[in-house]
Amino acid sequence: MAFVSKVIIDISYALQTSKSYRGVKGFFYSLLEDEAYPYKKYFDFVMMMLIVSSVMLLIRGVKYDLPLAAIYYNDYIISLIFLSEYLLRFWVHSSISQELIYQYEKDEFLGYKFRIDRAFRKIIAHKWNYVSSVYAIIDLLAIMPFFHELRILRLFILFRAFKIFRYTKSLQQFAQVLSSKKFEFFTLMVFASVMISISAVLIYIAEANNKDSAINTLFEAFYWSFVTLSTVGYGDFVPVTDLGRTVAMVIIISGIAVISFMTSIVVSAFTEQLDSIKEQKMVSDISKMKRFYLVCGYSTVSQIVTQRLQKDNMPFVIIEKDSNKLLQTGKLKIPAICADPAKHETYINYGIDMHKQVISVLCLEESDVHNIYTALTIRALRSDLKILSYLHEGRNHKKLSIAGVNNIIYPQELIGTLAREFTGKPVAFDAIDALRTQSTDVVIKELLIDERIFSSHSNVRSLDVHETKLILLGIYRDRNFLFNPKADETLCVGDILIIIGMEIMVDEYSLNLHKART
Amino acid sequence: MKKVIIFGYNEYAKKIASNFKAVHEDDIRIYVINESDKNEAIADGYKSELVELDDEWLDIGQRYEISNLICFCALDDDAENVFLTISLRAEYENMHIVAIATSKDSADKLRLAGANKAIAKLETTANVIVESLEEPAIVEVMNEILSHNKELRLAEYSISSISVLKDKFLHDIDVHKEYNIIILAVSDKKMEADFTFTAEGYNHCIKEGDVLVVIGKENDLQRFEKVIE
Repeated sequence: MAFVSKVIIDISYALQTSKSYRGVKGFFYSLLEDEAYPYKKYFDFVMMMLIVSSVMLLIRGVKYDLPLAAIYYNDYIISLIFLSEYLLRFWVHSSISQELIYQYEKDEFLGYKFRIDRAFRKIIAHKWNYVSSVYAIIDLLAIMPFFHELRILRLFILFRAFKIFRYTKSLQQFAQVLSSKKFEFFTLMVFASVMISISAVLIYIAEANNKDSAINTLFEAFYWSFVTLSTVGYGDFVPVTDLGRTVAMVIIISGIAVISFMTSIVVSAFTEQLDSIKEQKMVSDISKMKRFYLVCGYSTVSQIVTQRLQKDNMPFVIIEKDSNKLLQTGKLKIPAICADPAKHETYINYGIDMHKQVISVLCLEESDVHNIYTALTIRALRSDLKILSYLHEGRNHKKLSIAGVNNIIYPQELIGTLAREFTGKPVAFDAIDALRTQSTDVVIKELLIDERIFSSHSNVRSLDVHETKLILLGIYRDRNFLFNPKADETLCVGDILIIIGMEIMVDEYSLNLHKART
Repeated sequence: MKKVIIFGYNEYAKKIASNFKAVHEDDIRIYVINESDKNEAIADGYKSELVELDDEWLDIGQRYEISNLICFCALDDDAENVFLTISLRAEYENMHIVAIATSKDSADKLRLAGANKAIAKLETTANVIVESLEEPAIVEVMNEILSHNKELRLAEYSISSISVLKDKFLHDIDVHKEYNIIILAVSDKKMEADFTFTAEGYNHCIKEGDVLVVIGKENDLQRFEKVIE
């Protein structure tokens, strides 16, 4: 026994330390269970198509003979794919080797003999959790048509339709919302069942012995009660006695109450869960975004900044703790989270990856106190992330710098500088203003010298800027600006040319630079 | 030297005043509408006066030569700023009025009220924020050009009747090589918004009275100024 335990533990360690085993298992886990995995949506789509094709073949097969290939496809190929999926989900649901190692190390630590039976009990409990889940039962039933010799099992193809729930998020949410009102539905069902039972028995007593009545059996009485309570009322069974008609009147009133109650439960469930559904959708949308700017605070400045970012197709996410301020973002379809940007939990709860997803952070809250606090939170999460902050009061400039803000925007300073420029040089001011706001066809643009451009342009002369009616204002290199560079100035990869010119000409010039010189 | 009057003494007005303080200290006057602002402005070393918004502003005309005056309307309230601008424009047709507005909408109203230039605080700030995300190098360069403390600066030169550049075409001038300066734009009427960027007006013939907007280093600009005058 000790030898068997040792072999099992050796295998468990070998599996847990095997990169390829963990890689394969991780891949299947992501594909089957991880909503954030980019390829999951393709897998889900393929599975849904298989389900739809399978159900369509079933419908076709009701009145017409199916070709052999279609039967083979439906009974074997799809079933085998579903079986594989079922087994893979069973495999990735929990880790047997991890459970064994955990128990082994725990027993070693406590000085006990390795209790392998205890580990297996836990493993079975975990696996049973999966097997007994609603989704897994539907999956299993959907595989049943594989045993096509049992004709009755062919009907199980219909269970494949239920599998759609697994792959369609909105259907999952619908089921989740309804399940939040389990108690209310249960109460309603009990009430309806009692009403149906009592009225069925009463109608049976009243009508069964009347030869003019169509209701002769208890089953017909139950059927009539159900149809009447649901307010459908086919009219195929009609009470003819006074007692029967009295029962009918009572059950019609009860039916209206049941339907109204049911409608109100569904509506209230959705109303209550609406915020949660929206939040889930937002988390899912954000996790799919590759790179974005994080805008902390939805102040008046943020509104204008985000409008500009939206116009320029630059991805961003807003975090604002005041839900009233965010009401407008819903109308504008802007990605926004109602949470405190100064809390670590916000970024964890919403799955925001500071290292991979966030390009830079904009602290645009209503006060310097909040901007400083948020900047410190961001800095603690990632030390090299670029943070830009709005400064409300000049005396807090140093505090924002200490908090790690890289770029401080102080509007008073900005307006003061602009005002001074206007006084002495009104035309120059207008020209600079026009360049900044892009209100004319002439623009100022950055052009990065990349490897491709550098391979054919080693100095300023080779750029031929002046031949193209553009103005080369200078070169931005290592945070220094080299104004009006000489023709023999050597270029480096990473240099940024600051070019002024007609937008269309700047774009064309950029294309020409990238085009390899022949 | 132009005289400067500023209406209001909020944070924006303070920054505008401090920007002029070094060169125009004796030429700055702050007009305020409450006593505490007046005391603060005086404490900061400015001449300050308490005024009423429904004043007729006749003393400004008596005290200053209007063509040599720049007026900043920087009151906190946009409606008061519009009222002030329209009152000043009604009295002085040629006064240069620069007004500070909260938003673009208010800036449009101020322009309609007669301001020569209306600076929208929110939009200007938002533009700078977005620029520093999209094109940070350009923001740095702009800051360098606009900053008072840096070597590089903007300048305007009026073309006189004897200027060497008179009657020359923009495409014929090679000042970037010869004087290490760049002609950014040219305007034929000073204090008006009508100007042509060099990048689009290569065929513009420079005439007497044109204003050249140039960027360059201090020494180069001085050298260029001597030549064109």
